[in-house]
Amino acid sequence: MSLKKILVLDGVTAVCRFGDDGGVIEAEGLLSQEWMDHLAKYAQWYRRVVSSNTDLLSLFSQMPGWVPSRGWIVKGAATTVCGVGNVVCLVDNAEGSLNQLMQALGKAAHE
Amino acid sequence: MHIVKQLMAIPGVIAAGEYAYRGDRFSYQGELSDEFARMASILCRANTLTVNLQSEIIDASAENCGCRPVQGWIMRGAQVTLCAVGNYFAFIETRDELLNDVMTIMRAKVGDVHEDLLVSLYARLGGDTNEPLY
Amino acid sequence: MNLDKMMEVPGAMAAFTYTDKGELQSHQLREGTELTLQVLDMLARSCVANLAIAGMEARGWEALTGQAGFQPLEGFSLIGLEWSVVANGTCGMVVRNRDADYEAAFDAVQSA
Repeated sequence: MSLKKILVLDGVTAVCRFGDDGGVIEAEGLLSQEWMDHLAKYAQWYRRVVSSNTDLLSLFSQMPGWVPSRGWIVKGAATTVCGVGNVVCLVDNAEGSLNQLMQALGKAAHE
Repeated sequence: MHIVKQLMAIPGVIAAGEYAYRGDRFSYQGELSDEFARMASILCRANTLTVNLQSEIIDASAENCGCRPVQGWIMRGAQVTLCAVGNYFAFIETRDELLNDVMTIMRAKVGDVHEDLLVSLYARLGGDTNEPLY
Repeated sequence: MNLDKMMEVPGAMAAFTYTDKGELQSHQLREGTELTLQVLDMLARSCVANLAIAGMEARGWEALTGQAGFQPLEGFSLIGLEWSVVANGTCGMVVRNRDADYEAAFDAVQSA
């Protein structure tokens, strides 16, 4: 799925695919290049930290199903940022559907 | 003398070693089983990644404020303390005059940790990254 | 919470308290330090996050290994390039690495 197909979903304001170094591979949306760079970098960090935390959960709970971690969501008052694999996007809470978006991000991340 | 050996020579140091990206590559000496050392390695990686993310966020709001690159962290428990500098870790007893000695040696021997710590941790990635960790 | 006491620790550059959600409540900054209120505000949140994760690790470690020793947790420290943050409960302090006395800092946040 191309990033453009995610950008047209309701409420999505920016979407970005990033590399293992946290650099932008491709991006669509309303953010400036500088902010897209920040978004990619933090998304990569979040991905690492969430993966560490799921490792801990897996280890301490002795339960299957935690790893490898797939993504994360940070929901703010008006905006939500969510990442699956190496794709991250910003969405307006009032307009977006998180379920639809996570599904689309999952498809985009596995390409 | 190798840093791990030097740490182990200090009375009160329970175990010391090196950890890597996913906890599947590690080496250690002291009173830990292989399984516990693997767990310690996973725990160390989690904390190192977390503090590195935080330092980036803080640095973004106050550039060159002195927190980056992160050198390590300390988790102090009632009887046991876990310290990490770079990709070295040490389990030590929580008691007077030990933590400062251990930290002084770790900081001096490991040297200043550069921004490439995580790159080098990641470079050691090996084995099956999808394997269950339990 | 005794900020004065925390500021007496060798190398102390700042002492602060925060709520359990990480909102900065009170602080003292050493005169001339490059640390700002904005940095302390961020650090307070990082202290809460790190203590929570460390608490989870301490609990998980003890449950799985059967070894006691980490609980009750007495603090967490992030060691930066030039300074370190030492935190416990709802108190934190920043000490300069050059003259850091970690034991004194942990003791100070313990009893503050």
